[in-house]
Amino acid sequence: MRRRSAFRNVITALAARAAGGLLVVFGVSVLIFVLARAMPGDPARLALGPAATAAQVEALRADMGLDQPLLRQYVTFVAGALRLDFGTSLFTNRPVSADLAYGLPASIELALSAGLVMTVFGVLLGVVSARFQNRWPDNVSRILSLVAVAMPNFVWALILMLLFAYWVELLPVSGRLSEGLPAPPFITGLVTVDATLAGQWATLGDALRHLALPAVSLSLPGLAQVARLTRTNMVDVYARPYTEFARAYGFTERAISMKWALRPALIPTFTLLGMQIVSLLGNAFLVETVFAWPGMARYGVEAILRKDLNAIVAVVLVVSVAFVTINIAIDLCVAFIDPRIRLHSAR
Amino acid sequence: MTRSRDINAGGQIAGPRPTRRGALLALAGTGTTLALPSGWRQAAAQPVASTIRMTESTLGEADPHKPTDVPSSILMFNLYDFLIRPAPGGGVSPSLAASWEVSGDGLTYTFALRDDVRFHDGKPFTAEDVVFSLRRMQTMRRGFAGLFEVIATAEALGPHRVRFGLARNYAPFLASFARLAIVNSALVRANQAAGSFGEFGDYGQAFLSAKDGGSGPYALTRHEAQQETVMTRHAGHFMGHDPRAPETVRLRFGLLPATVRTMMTRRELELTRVSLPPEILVALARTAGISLGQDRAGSMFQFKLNMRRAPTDDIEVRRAISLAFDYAGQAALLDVAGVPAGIPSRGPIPSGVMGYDESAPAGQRNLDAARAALARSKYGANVPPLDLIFVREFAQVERYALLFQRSMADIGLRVNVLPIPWAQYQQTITTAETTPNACCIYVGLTTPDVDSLLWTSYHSTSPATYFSAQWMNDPEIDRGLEAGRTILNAEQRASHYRALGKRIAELVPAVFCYDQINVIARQNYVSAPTLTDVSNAVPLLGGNYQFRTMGVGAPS
Repeated sequence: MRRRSAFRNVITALAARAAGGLLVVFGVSVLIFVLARAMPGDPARLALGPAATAAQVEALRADMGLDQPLLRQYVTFVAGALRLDFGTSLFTNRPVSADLAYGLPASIELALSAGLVMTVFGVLLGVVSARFQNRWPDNVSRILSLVAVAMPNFVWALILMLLFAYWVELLPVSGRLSEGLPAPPFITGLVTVDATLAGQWATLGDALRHLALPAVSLSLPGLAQVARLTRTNMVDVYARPYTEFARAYGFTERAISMKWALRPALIPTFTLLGMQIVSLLGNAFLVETVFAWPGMARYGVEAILRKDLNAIVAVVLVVSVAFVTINIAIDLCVAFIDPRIRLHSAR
Repeated sequence: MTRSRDINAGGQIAGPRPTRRGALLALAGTGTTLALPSGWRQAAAQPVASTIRMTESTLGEADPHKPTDVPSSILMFNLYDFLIRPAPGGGVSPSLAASWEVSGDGLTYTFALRDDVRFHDGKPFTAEDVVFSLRRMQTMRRGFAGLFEVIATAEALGPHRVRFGLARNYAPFLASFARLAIVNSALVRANQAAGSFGEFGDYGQAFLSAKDGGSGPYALTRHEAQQETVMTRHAGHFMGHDPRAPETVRLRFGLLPATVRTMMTRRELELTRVSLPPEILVALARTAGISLGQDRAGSMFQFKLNMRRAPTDDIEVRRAISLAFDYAGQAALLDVAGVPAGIPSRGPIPSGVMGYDESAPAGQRNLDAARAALARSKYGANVPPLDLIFVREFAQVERYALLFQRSMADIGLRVNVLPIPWAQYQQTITTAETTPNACCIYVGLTTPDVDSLLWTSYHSTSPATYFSAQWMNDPEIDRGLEAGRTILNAEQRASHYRALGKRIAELVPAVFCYDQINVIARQNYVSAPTLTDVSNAVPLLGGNYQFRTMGVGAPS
């Protein structure tokens, strides 16, 4: 009975979060729609170039509906967006949804790979650091974390490129696959996943090699934050009476670490990781540019520079929807990890 | 095995001792990974046979009738054919048009077309394709459509004969055809989608944005906007290819200079088109197997001076600015490992273009004369400060802007330098009131005719763009430009534009700094005559990248 009530409460809480999320997305859509039009520069003139006559510019403005009142433009946009039709890109002349379908999987693959590196190595460093608190592994880990977080990811991208592509020609420096290698059939758009599903192991290996530098450089600042947060939380948990109680019972340090210390320490880390990974979708622009990664972040910045209105709004909307969705997913996961949250919902 | 374990008061624990041996093993593992045998290393770090891979800024769509920038021009010149082609050293040469006749009054042009041309899908080229291409451009009103507004009638007189009637005399008419790519009308009609052009639907815009409808020396294999475009050699092209011309051309878009340098060093790129910082070019020049080349595309670097805004509304102030600028200082900035990135301008017409006057003086600094000019101005000793803008995205231009600021300080002129993004730049110069006193910018020819540069820059009716940021409104110049469009004799036209160029220079609408040479880097196993021999250069945006004239040999 109590379990059913808890479940109902979780669903209610989720529905409330989803409604709140929808409001956020609506707000973002209005804001970006107005901001994109308020930005300096006439998109029609930018698209047509200096050789165009004033009549040509006016004709294109009419084609784009820019001569309509702003409210009507917004309503038209929303009606299209609900059908996943974001209009046509001024620059590529393709449906923006088609452009996103090309760039978004690449960005997701990169962000997930960076997230994986962040999670595995960040948590590992944090655990090691906490377990050997104030001893040399902890000191080394803290210095590494400081160095990693002190430099933005695009600087890491350049450093790693210099080390592993320029001086030691070990890893590829651009794109998702080597020239001449057959791309796997499109299933998810994530080359590593599609190659695995298709059993193209050479392609998988090549894709992983191409992912290595961008994913690591993108992950380093976040990895350092995750390591620091995990360490702080674990040190805090180690000081709790129940940990000492476990020790008094003779449990091994590994068991204490993994069972009693790490799990509660992971809750804030997990929240941070989720936000970090989703933020990489939009913030990976410089790393994507350094490694010629055909992702959505690069597409978005190019759209801003060219004032490609439909593309700007669509990219921002996709990122905001991703933020809202991941936030809700994190809440769910945290509730799963921490029974107190479930019980609190039940009450 | 025993494991030490203790608890201290602060909850600090001691787990298994971290050993230095473990750390050394980890280091050794990393070292082994880095020292992998060469077979494990990057497989693509070798030149690919008969392929040219070139960096470009960025490219949206492949439709030849819409964009106007350099990357799209390069694509257009390789995928499509034109009635005429821009020729080395300026001017035009026959291409799809074998010959042409002009009526006595200059209002009717009749072209005899080649009968041995086929599109990439095998369909023979006919006059219908020419008329369709023209109608498409005129109806869509995109790209260089403005060049063809003068055409009143266009009719196919037979499969290989076409006639155009002009509404008025227009001497640059022939040169305009260097911008009318001829598309395969049957293919486009067969692939048109629903759209706003009546029976023509979308006029094949969706199709041509990523697909090929041409007959040019290369055919489009793959086009991913902003990422990569791949072209393969069209073996049956009527103009032929250099025997060593690349089978495949890959244009890679949006690579950072550091990435370009790495890829050039690894021989993953053969050619750089995109403008690179001098330090990267110098480093590449020092790399074995890489040389620098020159892309002379008929463009110039100028500080345009707003003639309707104080204090640059006074010709004496403009003259003072022109005399105070440190041309020698700029020339020093233009040297890239011994290759000049520009030559001094001699007025508003770039070298190699009709009307260029080799005897005209290049800009020279004379501070005494500058101060005297300033004293003669209506502002006297109270010249208000100048505003100067430059495009933030062009890193190199910032140096020139700062040089301008320093130069003007020597005659007591204060300059506020404002870096702004490209979109804002374009917005700022839409009216004379909002255009700053000085705008630094590159301008160049959009067709092989000098009119394409001078009219858009100096005629009072030209639209407000970065070309016309000096806001000239001079009836005499207007009349000169209009007259230039009616003179059909080439020699008379050249003489007319020489005189007009001189008159424009006297009005000092800009500081004419240098004729731009885009310094490029290439692998030594690539031959590119238009980039290595000035006499082969085609003074037109993107004109020097015709891959059928290039060659790929064994790596040196």
